[in-house]
Amino acid sequence: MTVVLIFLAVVLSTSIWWLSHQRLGAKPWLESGLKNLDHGSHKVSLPKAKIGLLVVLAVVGMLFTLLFSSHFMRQEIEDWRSMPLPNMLWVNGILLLAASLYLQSALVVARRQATRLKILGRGTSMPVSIENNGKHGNSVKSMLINACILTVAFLIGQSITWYELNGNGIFLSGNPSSSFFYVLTGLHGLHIIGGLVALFHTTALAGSDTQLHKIVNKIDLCALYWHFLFFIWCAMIFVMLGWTYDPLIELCKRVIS
Amino acid sequence: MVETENTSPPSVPPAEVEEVELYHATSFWTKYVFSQDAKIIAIQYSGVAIAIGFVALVLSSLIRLQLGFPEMFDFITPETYYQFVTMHGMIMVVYLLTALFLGGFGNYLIPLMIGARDMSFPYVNMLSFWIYFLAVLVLVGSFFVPGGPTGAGWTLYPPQAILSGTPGGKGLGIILMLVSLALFIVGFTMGGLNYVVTVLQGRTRGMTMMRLPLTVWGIFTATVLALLAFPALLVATVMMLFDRLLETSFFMPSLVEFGDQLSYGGGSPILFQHLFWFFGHPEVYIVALPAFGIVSDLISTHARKNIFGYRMMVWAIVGIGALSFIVWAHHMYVSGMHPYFGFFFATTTLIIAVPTALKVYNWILTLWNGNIHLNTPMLFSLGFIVTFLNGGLTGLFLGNVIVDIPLSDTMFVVAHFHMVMGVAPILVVFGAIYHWFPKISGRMLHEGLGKIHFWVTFVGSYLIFFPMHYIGLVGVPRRYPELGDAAFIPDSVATLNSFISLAAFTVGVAQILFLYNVFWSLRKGRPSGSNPWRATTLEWQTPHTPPAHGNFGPELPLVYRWPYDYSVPGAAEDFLAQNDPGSLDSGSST
Ligand code: HEM
Ligand SMILES: [Cu+2]
Repeated sequence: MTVVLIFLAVVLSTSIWWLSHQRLGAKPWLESGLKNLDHGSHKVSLPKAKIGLLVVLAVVGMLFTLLFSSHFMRQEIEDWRSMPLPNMLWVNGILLLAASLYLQSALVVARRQATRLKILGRGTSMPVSIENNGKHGNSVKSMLINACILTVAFLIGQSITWYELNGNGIFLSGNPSSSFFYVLTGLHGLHIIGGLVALFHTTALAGSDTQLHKIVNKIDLCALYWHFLFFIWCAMIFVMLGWTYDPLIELCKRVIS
Repeated sequence: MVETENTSPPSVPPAEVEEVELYHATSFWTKYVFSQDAKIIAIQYSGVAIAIGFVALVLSSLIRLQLGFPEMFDFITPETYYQFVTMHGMIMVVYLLTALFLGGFGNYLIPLMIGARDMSFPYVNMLSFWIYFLAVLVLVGSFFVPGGPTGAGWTLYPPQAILSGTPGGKGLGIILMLVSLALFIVGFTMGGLNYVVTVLQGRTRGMTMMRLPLTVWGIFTATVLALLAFPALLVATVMMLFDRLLETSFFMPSLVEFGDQLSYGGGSPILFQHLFWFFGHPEVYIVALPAFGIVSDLISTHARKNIFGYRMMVWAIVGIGALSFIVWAHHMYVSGMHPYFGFFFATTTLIIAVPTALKVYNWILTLWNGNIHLNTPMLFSLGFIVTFLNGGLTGLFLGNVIVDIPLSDTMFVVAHFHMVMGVAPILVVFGAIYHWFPKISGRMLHEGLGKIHFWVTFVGSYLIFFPMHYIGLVGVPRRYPELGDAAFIPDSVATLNSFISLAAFTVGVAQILFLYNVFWSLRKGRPSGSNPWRATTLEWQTPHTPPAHGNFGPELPLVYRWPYDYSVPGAAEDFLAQNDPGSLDSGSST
């Protein structure tokens, strides 16, 4: 359960760090009246959708780290046979990374344009279609489309991997290493599909008349989600490669015993 | 229900809180069925939770029928007995208490108490309820499939949970149970997201974290715990479903069943226990923390005294929440773990008792010299404090490895956890309903009936669970439909068991009184006005009772003070509401 506890420690210490900025030492019974009205009423300065997403990521993170922990505990048992990871996975990883990078650059461009509009005094709250605003708009939309395509390609790649593994006689119900492989990649794929729904929605908005700052926020959320899922994907590969049999761990074990 | 207008709208300067676009329902369906208003969702959640809770209550009577009068009833076989016990435990813990405290009270109270118009994501909030409802339907459905519901015990330990020796193990029972749990978790996560973001983002001007009523602190922290703990149960249910349906071996060791070698091999049942209790222990606090918060507000209001040590109460809630993640293995002392682990977990378990005890002291010091009104909410709160203390003390016994090992899986454990997480939170649920019913309906619940309900429930619970400690100490194991002639069991156990059962039936029947009270008062209860308890928190200051859509009038309230300004010298009434500016120039009061 070490992995999940480490992740949990990160989540909890972030929350407690935030709480510690909420004047937890205040003596509310001594402070009343207008003077103190806004004293320390820090709301989180992020938009609520972003906080929501961060909460979701914490939950998703727990889900995967719990599976990682289970993986480690299960692989201690003798019947475990590590499974060779199909090469296709590396291609898939690059696809997902590229999608993630496209989203990041779409975000950068859209943000830059939003500030430019603000400087021009046109205000971000005005309905401005990204597309109608010169090449910036076009590039945002096309980057989003690229990200969609790459992600779909990633999903197809993952399905091909599953298909090939099945062809080679590596089934879900075979050795636990392959059971974990299917469960982990499957769950990851489901999360990608969920994200794709939001990404499609955002991409569609990028073409129609809409308020620029809204779409910037949406791209921001998508980018964050994609980075996170790419990170999870890397961690997943790392866990499944079985690198935990490292000499380092062996050494630790010997030191302890 | 009666509609009342708040006669003295508080004169406050306009709030500079950005208004959110409020969703407006247009038809009956979107207003009352697929509603996005947190107050309606709260009532839907509570209604379903209480209804399914009554099923669990009936099941407990059936359990007691068997334990008190073994071999008298033909329709209770060992199989059905296991099914009753399992469904009773699972429903009570997950589908009643978790759903009611977070989905019910959380939805109703969070927006009102922090001065928000609604939850942050109303649509997701609505989905949350409907997925929960679906989960309950699937659960109920499992009673009607061939083979019946699962009888694996609420802990669902593999390998027995999915083998043919366990009722429902090879049929649909266990599958529906697991699917229902998975649905519940998905639905809860949607709701939990709302509760957390709303507390972080939706607070009105002046409502700092340190001015939140403890109820909100309790529900908020419990939600964070639940969001982080439920994934463990989800992972466990998904892996168990795979083991059951697709013959993977996550949890299943190699087995021979009725002479047949099963295709499983190498899986680890202990892994399941870790996952289950990684959820299971925080679950205790998911139920307890909202109860702590609510009780703090109830005793402060009904003893007309500010809560003693507000800061410490907040720290204790947060501290208990964090600690509750590193004690889970105290449920696994008998699983053959390394003694050092046992030592570690016993230590953390005893450490958690410190902030918990602190809360009990603070409640008592709040009551000390207070102007205690012994009305129904107060009685239930006092009942809670005593009962929780009681269960907490036996918890200290069980936290120690050496004491736990002989007591593990005896009725002593059953008595212990019923005290802490059964009776105690249920008393708070009732106290809270008596307290907030006037706000929800505009009418008071009948006080006399309420007191009878309290005394029968409270005394009855002790008659049920006190003797059970003794039965457990003698060594009577739990989850046994019949005891037979075991030499170590004295005759007194059978007598006590019959006695306990009679007490249990009485308590069960007394709950009908409560239902009657609710339905009677909805139509005939005394109109309550907007703030019958003269309470300080924002939900009592709404312009309408019951609160209208959007909760507050055109302006959101401004918060000038903490929620516990009771018995203020010189105040017009004896309290100052949170949105009462009081004397504007002075920087302090009380
Ligand atoms: C009138 C009230 C209640 C009575 C008479 C009652 C009685 C019982 C009995 C006799 C058992 C079976 C013990 C055994 O043979 O193992 C049991 C199990 C259980 N009860 Fe209750 N109970 C009541 C309320 C509650 C409440 C409010 C909760 C909520 C936490 C709860 C949670 C449980 C759990 C988790 C189990 C264990 C189920 C299992 O072994 O899988 N009970 N109860
Ligand atoms: Cu525990």
